Amino acid sequence: MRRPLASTILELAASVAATRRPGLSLAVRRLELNLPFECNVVRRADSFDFVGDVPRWRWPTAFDPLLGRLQLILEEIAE
Amino acid sequence: MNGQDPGLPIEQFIQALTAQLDRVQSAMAMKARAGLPLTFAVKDLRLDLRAHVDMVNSIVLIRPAAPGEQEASTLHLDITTITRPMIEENTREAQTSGEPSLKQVLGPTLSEDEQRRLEWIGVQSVSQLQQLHSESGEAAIERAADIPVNRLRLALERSSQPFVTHVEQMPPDQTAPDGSMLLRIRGANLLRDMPPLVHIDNQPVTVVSASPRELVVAPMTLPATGTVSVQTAPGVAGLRNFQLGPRLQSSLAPPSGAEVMQ
Repeated sequence: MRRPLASTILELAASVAATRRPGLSLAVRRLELNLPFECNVVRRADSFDFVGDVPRWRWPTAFDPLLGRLQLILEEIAE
Repeated sequence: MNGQDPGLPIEQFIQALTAQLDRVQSAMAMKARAGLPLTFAVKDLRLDLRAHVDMVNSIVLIRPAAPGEQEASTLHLDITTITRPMIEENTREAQTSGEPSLKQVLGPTLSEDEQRRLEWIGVQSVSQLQQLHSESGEAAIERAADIPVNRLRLALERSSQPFVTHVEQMPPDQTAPDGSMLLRIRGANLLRDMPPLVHIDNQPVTVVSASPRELVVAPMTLPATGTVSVQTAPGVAGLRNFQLGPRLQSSLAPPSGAEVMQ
């Protein structure tokens, strides 16, 4: 089951936020990602969901959807 | 969406994508408000999507590529955040709110495809069509929307005729000076150069106030159902069947009751 695009992005952002630890003097302020990406649109009862997720496997097979690419820039929300 | 699926109209495709991005921004904003120490916002997003682009009449369809479809196109989508002033600057003024849609007024005068092509050039309401006509002329619309001139003329003519969308009884505290009940008639093109002539079931009624989008009339009697006719010029009138509800708000008879006579 592939995740909706929002869930994937939120998970990526949360993983960066989780890098901050007490006592650590470095902090990530900006993150640029460039990933192979799998996208599709799934029909729901009365709407459509844009599904976007990282590839299922490291080595795609002929049965896997063609991969696109996601370039994402996340920036820290200033206080 | 699989290989047999015809695809999704591009508007719905973009809506599905932006709905996800809105979800991301909302979730991140909530985290920030909750006081979490480090939260991020999506600054820029670029998506290279392997998909097939197809056209059925005037509808552009997008279908993500299925496995093995190496010949699929690549769509590059660049999405960035914009500020509220930028949204307002790029959004048409809400001057058309409450106005009947182009489809309502034109009915079958223009095909779905032709109406869609008008939307492509930014025409979504009758007032926009009339404004574009007065500013750019018939030939420009014909070229830009690829609509045959005779059909465009017909649509322009129809778009300038009176069109009634609602008939409703006004609240009891808003009555005529003699205390009689008032009816509000809403629609488009209800006022031209001369005061409109309004009839209910072929009986003339007094017009208390008039604007292009709304008339207030004082009928001698208030029928529960009937037909209202608004004549704005000799031989140019809009008709609408109506049914007043038991309370203040009324509802119209089915749209089949609407017609324009000339």
